[in-house]
Amino acid sequence: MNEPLPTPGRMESLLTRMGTAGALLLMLGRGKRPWMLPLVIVLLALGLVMVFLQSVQYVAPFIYMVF
Amino acid sequence: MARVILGVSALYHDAAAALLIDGKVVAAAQEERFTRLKHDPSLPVRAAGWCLHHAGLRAEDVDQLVFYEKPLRKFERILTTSVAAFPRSALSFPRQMKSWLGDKLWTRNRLVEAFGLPSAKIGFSEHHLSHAASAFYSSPFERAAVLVADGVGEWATTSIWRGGPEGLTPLAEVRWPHSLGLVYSALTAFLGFAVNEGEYKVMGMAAWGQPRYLEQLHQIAKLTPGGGFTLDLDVFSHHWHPTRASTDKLAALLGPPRAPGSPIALLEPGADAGARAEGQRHADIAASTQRWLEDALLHVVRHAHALSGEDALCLAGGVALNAVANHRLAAEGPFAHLFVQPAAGDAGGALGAAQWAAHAVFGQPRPAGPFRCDLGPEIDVGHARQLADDLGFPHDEVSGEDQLAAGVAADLLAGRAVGFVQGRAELGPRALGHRSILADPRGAGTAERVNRQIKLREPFRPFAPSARAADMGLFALPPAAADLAPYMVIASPAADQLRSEAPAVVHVDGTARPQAVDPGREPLYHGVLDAMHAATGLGVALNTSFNLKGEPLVGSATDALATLARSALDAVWIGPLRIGRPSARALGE
Repeated sequence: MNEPLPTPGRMESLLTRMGTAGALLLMLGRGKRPWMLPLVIVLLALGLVMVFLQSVQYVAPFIYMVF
Repeated sequence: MARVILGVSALYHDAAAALLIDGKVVAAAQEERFTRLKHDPSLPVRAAGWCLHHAGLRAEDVDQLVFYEKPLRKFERILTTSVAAFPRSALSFPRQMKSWLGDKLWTRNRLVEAFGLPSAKIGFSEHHLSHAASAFYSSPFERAAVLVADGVGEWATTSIWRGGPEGLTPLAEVRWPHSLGLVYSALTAFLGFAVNEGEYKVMGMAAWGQPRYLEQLHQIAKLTPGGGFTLDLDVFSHHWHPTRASTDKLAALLGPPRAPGSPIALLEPGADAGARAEGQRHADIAASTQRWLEDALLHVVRHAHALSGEDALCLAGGVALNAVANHRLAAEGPFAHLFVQPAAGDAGGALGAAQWAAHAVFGQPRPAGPFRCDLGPEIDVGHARQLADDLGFPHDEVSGEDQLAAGVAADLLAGRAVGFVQGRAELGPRALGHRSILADPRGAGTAERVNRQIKLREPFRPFAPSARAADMGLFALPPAAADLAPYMVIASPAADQLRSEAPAVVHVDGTARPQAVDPGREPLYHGVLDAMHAATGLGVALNTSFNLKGEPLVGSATDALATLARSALDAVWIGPLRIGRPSARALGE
């Protein structure tokens, strides 16, 4: 009943994620909680690694054992 | 060119999609009806696909997708709370981070991938703004105050808005972790019921008890001047504990919690005196919780009235589904008119997000006429007929609405309980004669039979009546609640005639949660009630949602026949098709 949906490319997906990370940092920096920025930067780096590893076929099954 | 807006709610519970074309709600559906997972939180790909298919559109025709909340603000709240509550939050922090860093933080990516839209077409509303929009833009009011109350959105747990031609303006809010909804949920868990599912059970159980713990609850959840409230954060633990919403201090106040799944001795024949006393204590806690919520809502609503200066109030958020509290707001509150969004939970958030974008952002006009809940898919009668043939279910068919109404009424008058599947499915938890189980409410044993043999749920839970709009005198609805009558969102005292003639739809405290069936809006269902009135003098049916315990409302002919086969239901009417129970042999018994 539904048409297959176009899948975004890997680069496009990464750019969208970077945009999300940037928006989060901007929100915290401009708001009342700039002291959270270092923590969030570390967490975001961890998150991007998690997302990247999840997309690697042979690593994905083991991700949740690590985190 | 027409502007197409797709509203989406997902990732917590009750995922849904809603499609608006030029400000008019064309379709809305919940993902659970397609996946058969109750409260399914996954991105509503099937529901959105159906909405587009129904409108003859494709994904690329969508001008704007609006997600119902802001994930980044939510992440900020979770991080801030975790840091503030450290080291008590040490257990919940890794769980939260796993879920957020691996998934929810990247909601924009997930929406792009799931719906095949460019990132530029994706926008985000706010959780309470979406709820507020779903109530205000569905209401008949030009201007109104709006109250949203639920567990939590981004930060707000209770918020007051003013709605008008200029849009929705925030007036006040109470922020996490102080939450009306989470007090009710904490007590729901304390009484051994599942959170987000068992709140209705607490409301139903409350009628069996006395609020003798009310004072204790007011001590740990205090109403403060200026329409606010504050929780004792040594008693409530939802802000730091991964699984528990309250600490042992709650048990010190109220006695031990009820173990999930343990028998409730309220109505169990043969229960001993000790078990009955324990059952009564649980009912008293439920009654106190209910009364506390009503007191708190009245407190907030009075403030909303003073703040907004409006004479109409719209309600949304999960707390607005508390039909007993809605009666007190209508009867004792300061507003002259009330409207409650029938899909007040997160499913309605998808609708509200799209409505906010259409009316407040793009300035499209609000459609005229009362809000209708039947926005979902129809069931294919041809498919139902084919299935019945293939599976050996006996069936026959009538022609015309008059014959159909007469046939359904005849079944009910013969003491049969039937599935009533007509037209498009309702959005939200209320079945309003489109995906309903109907029965004759006149027998005293009807409620217990439908509870135990058909719905397979707790015997203390009440059933609601549908009545002809002309017969609403059977219910003492406050004048402020006139606009609520079609939606089953208010529980009001039943008149003596209803109590004596239809005990199955009157709760133990003498109240009922009616649906007024209007001949113009629901001609077929009204015809059924008319035929019952002609035969008995009472145009009232017992109406409960067409599902079994733990399942979503039926979404397809297969679901309807599976429910018929697995319960003691006597027949199902799908459009003009009457499908009876299969023989024991066909069922493999």
